[in-house]
Amino acid sequence: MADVRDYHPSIYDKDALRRAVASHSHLCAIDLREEGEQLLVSVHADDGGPDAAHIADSIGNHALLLTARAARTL
Amino acid sequence: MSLPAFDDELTYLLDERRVVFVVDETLFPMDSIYGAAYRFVDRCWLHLRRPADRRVEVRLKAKGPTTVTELEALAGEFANELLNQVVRQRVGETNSKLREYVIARAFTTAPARNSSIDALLAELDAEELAEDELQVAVPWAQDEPHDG
Repeated sequence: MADVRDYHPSIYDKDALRRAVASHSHLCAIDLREEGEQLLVSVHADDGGPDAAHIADSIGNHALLLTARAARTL
Repeated sequence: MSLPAFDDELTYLLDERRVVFVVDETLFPMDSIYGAAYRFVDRCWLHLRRPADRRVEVRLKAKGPTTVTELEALAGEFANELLNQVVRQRVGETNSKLREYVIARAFTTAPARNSSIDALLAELDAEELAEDELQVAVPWAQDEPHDG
């Protein structure tokens, strides 16, 4: 079952999102695409592997952390 | 220095593991939202959305089983951290010039001389060593003429 989440480019850095997706790509198939104004991340979990929602949550946190660092907030 | 005011209580939505609320970006700049979110990445799952212009929807999801009380506390703590981050950034902006001056001064000031060590070395340099019967050369005397 796929978990699809939207990320707004005014909030999440696109490169940060790419890196977050790449860091989780060994877990299952993950699709990152642009749709209109939004960036969509689709996580297609493998049977018997980590839950898609859990992986999507982790990608979100990772992307946020990288975005915050890129914004030199920290 | 004026600070953003929380005129109304924080309004939020709850479901079984998640609390959702909207932050006004005119009150809490994006940097403060990032700063607050960074402090919570180890405690919960975060997702930020853009429901409208200058509005950021913050979704905090518990990493495990939780209660309504805990979710409400999480939302309250996040709101407090937002304020903390705004104050931190305001103070940083106020003191930025002083900070730059102090750092520049630290890097450009000549290193302090250790006067006691220098004095000892000067004594050794100036001191005429007793004649060395074994004619063993010493590093600081290589320029001095010696027999053999």
